[in-house]
Amino acid sequence: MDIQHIVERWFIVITILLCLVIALLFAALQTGML
Amino acid sequence: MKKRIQTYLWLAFYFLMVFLPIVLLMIFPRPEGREFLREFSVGLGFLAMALLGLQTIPTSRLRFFTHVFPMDTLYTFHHGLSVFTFLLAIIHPVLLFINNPETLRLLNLITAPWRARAAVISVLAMLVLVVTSIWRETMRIKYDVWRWIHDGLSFLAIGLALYHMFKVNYYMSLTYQKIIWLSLTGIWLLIILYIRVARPIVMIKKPYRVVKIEEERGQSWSIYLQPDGHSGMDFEAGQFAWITTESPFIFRENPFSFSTSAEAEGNTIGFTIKELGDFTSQVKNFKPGDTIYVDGPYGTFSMDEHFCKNMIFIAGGIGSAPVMSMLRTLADRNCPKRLAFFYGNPTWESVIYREELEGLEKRLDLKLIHVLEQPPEGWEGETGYINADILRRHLPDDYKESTFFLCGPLPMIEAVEGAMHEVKVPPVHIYSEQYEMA
Repeated sequence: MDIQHIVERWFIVITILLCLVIALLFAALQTGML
Repeated sequence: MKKRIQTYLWLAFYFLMVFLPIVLLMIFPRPEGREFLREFSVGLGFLAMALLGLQTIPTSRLRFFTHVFPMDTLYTFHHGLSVFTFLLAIIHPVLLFINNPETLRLLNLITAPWRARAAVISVLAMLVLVVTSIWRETMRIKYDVWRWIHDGLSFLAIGLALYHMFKVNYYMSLTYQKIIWLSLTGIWLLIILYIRVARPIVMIKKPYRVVKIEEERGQSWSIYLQPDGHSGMDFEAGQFAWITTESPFIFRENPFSFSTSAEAEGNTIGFTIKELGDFTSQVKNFKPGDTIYVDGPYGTFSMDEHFCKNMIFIAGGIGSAPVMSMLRTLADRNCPKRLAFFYGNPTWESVIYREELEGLEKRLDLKLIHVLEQPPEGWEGETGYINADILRRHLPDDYKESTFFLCGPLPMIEAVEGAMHEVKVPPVHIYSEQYEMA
């Protein structure tokens, strides 16, 4: 796999992980867990 | 500005557009929190909305994106994140239903309030969008019909999702949240206006005329165009453009790589097109004087974009068109670099540009390696598909320092990249462009 496709795959993975982490963080903050 | 810095700036802007509303919500005072599942669901809903609107950007062909990111990367990104956005849009209500099963009554479109109806229809529109995009060919939907469906449903999904968010009005009761989301909506609308109105107008104002049509081998045709009443365009060898014979407002453009030299005198541009479908089968019927609209150039699959010591090209069939543009350009520049071209084709008779490539071998330091699936009797060259053994036999000793350009359909690219991995070509030296973006 060339570098361009490695980067694009990771970029999608990072976006997905960030979305999940930030939504969890938001929920934790709103419910006073953090 | 250097491309690397531009790339980082655009990535920062992208993350800002996705995460800014929810991150600000976490920093500044906000309405009281509710159950964990409900708040998690709301967080995912906000992110789904931001990602949904953002999907207008990757395929918009805005120059400042296509200049920095390869077009096939933008499309892959659009495909991957659209499916993820749809999943978020599904998980958002499912979590609410788990948290409070009574909310299932909101699925009843007859009794539900409009904010819930809008959300249900928006998710259904997304479902149809995803299904018709993934299985368009299986469902035998014509590309231009699909594109109208795609644009209409996208508009519906985004509009109804926004309506839902504003009407729920919990976190949206905050003035700065309203301002942020209205600003984002303004950006998305501007992009849609650019795609639907501004770009077609520019294309109509800058038409091209067919000057010559030439039959090539392998059921392919080369078409040469000249600008009509304007100065034409400068392109880099390896780039491509969208072309159409109909009004650009109908959106029946097809992408083709330039096959002519970027250094050619005059402002003639040319494409080589293989007969594969509706539009490509009409090319042989074009006549000198016919009007063609061209939108381009696009793409970062260019030897001018990257530092190249020596160059190795790998292509199959019509994937040779951008490679031919590069070789013709290098010949016009009297390039002294060592070049190799691994060229895969079904038969000897179907080798597009066969005779001209023999001429280019004399003008350039070019080693041409034909690989035929069905070789003729007495063929002493390579046979089958381009694989690691063939690469090992013909690559120059210093191939790990060479730059590789690979062009063709995705299965071929994946197979050849596997072979390149076997012979330990550094991934940073490989540039590829796949056909079949939509």
